[in-house]
Amino acid sequence: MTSAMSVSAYIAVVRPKVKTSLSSSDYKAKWYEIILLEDRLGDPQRTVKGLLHMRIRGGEDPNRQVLEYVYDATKKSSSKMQGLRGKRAVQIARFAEDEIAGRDTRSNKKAFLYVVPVATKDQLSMPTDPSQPSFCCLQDILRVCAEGHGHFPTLTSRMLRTLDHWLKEQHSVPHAVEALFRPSALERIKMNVLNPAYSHGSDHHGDRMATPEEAMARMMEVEKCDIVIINPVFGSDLKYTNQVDAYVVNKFYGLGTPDYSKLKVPDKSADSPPRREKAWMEEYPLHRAISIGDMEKVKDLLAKGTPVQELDKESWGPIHYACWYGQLEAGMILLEQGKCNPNLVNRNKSTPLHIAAGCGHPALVQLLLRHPEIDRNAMNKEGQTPLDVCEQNKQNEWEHAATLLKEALNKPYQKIRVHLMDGSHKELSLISGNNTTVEIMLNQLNFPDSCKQLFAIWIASRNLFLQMKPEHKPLHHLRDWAEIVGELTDCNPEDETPLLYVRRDARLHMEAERKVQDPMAIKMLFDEARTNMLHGMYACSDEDTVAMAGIMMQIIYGDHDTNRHKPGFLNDLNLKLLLPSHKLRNRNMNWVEGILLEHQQLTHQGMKDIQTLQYLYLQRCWNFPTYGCAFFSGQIMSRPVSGSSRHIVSVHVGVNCLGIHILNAQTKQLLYSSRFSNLQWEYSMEGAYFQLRTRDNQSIRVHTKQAALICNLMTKLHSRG
Amino acid sequence: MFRNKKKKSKKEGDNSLSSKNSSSGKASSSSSGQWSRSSGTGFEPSSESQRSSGVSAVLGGVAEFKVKLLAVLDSLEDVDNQGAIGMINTIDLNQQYRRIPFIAKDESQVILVLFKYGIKVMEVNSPVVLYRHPLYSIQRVVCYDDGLGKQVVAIKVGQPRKTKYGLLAFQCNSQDQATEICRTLATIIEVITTPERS
Repeated sequence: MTSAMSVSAYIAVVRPKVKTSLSSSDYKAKWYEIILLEDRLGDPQRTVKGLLHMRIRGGEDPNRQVLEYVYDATKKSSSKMQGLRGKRAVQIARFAEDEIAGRDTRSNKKAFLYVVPVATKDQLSMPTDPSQPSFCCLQDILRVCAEGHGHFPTLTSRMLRTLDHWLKEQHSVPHAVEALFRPSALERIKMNVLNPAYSHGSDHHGDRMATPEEAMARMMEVEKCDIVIINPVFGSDLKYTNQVDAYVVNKFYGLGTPDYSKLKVPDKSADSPPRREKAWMEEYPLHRAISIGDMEKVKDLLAKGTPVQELDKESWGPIHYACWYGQLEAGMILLEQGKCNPNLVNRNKSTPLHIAAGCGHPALVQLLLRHPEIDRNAMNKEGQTPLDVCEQNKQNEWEHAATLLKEALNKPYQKIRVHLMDGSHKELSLISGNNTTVEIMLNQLNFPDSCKQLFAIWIASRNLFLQMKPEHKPLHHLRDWAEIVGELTDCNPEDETPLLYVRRDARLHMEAERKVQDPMAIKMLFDEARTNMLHGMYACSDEDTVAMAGIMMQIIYGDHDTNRHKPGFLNDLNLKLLLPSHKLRNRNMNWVEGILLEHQQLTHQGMKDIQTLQYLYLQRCWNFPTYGCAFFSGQIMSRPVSGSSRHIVSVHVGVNCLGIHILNAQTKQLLYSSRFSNLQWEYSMEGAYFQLRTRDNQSIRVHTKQAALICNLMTKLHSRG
Repeated sequence: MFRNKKKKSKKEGDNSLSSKNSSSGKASSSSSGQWSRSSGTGFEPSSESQRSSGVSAVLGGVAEFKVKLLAVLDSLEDVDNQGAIGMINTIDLNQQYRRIPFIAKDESQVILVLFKYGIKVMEVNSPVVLYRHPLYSIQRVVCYDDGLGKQVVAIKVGQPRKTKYGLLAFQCNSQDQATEICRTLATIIEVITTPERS
């Protein structure tokens, strides 16, 4: 209707003869009058009657143009030179204009038919000139139309018939005709309020009024909200679940109407004031500060010791929010100052790298990839790597992030050092960053299948030795070592520097160990046994000590040479390599002589092969009760000896697959040794001790913070038989 | 897994008339007790002497009117900037073309809430917000006689510097109610937009 092209409009100005007819649901054409005017159609001999006709300009309101045209066209017919004011212009139909023969040859032109209602009182003087518009009875006109004979052009008669049908239809709809002839909009306005922000120049006056710009600014000011609550769950990977968290069943349901006078409602108000659940931003200030990048607040909170890895109710930590919102500086502070785990996972097992990659923040991806402990192969619950997530989501600068992730895959892994018992070490790759497990590390050691169950990775410092399970993550233990030391010993954590070792698995059965033939495994077991021997952890006789020192002589110095291996050959320095220091203190024993004799005999027997010698050494060790023990530390009360009072003795508590053995930490004397089958044990939660009871009712109480570990291990090894 | 989450929360006040906001952010402030739903007609008509008390009323309260929703027209083109006449004609013609009813049905009863943040159209006896328009988007309010015996309040809403606009038309119970709605909105707009005089 408002296209830029001009279109034809035919206008039926309609006037009801009597006002009362408007509310009737019946329709009679004789109730209406319509304005027609004569038209020569370019032929001076022939005149036909037609509707008012105009062209509508595009870009302006067509209804207003129609009403203005009606006003102008009827001006001349009016006695006071005032045209008819149509109430409204209602477009009722559309025709193709080329149906009007000879009038307009251009094809595909549209013509609209408008109805313009006017009031009954609107009069036109009888025209002197037939070409002036005048009212005619609609019924009469329609009759002439029906007769044909070319009184009207085809289009005009079609339009008149359309009008007839339309009016009839209007009468069938309640209120439609009334509404058609209701007063114009101008006459019906009661009140009109304009927002000053939308007033245009002239409307605006007076010094009290604000300019449109001011008014808009003030209203925008109101729009600023007082409180903003960001839904922390929005866009997270939470899945909707219809499982209920808790439910309460009315236990009275189905029991009929209760006697309410006997029921008493507990008075809750007396107990505690109603608890308001804290909003996320109040409860997790660090999360929020990170999300909005408020660095001052972040530094402040970290300085106050706010836990840096705390997960909120959606299981997200601050580092996840930093990655989600692309807060680089916040991420740096969390990792460097806060020592946050770069592989912290949420409920969905998504790491910060997953989130940064998924959101397409290359700067954060870069930051995380540079972290020495990053697990670039981490998988989320759906089994996707960060690169998968990045390429699936395609958010922000995902292409850049994906490139960084791909580049990182080809870079070498960070290494970690694992010590062997002969003092050497191996470098293992941290394939999964700090998520690398003991299992992954053991696999890198490439043990033959027969030896795989022999060894485990231990973490140890001066006073604490712990064997790790295959699923343990050594880097986490190294990081938390001070805490672990504090929990399990009374030592100063600062003096305890943890290292990783490959050592015999404490759960290994002796039968399995006796079958070992692999040279490398034998060497490793030998190295460990020798270390334990020299530390005095095997309570053994002096004969055994000498015999084993002889084997060591043969291994270290080769065949006995009477000229070279004289008594003076062994001094305090090299004796330390052969004898435990507590034995060495016993000067009553002629160690040197015994060792040299043993050495001589071995050479004589032709024992030259180092592996055979190592095996020989091991075979002797297997006979010791404390062989293969996992050692813990503790304290017991000494047995009362006549003349001296009881006192506290520091002990090593060794547990192997046979039983429990208690060594004096100082003298390395075996104080107590018992098989599991003869023993009952009881762990006391509160006192940090455990109690051993033998069948003959002997009882020992060992005080140690490691009591729980010891009892667990005993239970495990005993149940395995 | 990841949805399109933008850094900034979506700006409030989606003004498309066709969008139905089932609850609005602003509505949450009513739960804090700052706003009270009064069943009365709300604001006193603003007069010079009541000006100062009117300010606090406008800034602190809400006015509610039970009316019938007659029409919600969307994406209208403002061709000639005809003001009030254009609004009425638009509604009239849409009635004539049967796009909206001549008389609102009984079940289209709603609560029209006027407050300093703008207007809300809510379901009766339910917290569901059908439409919400911020104050700055309200361009013009017209009260008129529909010629069929009813009083109508029409509100024109749109965005600054946009030619597309929308219309909300409410059929009122009485002439008084219709003028009251107009006056209340006029007061709110006046108080918010007039420079403060100390």
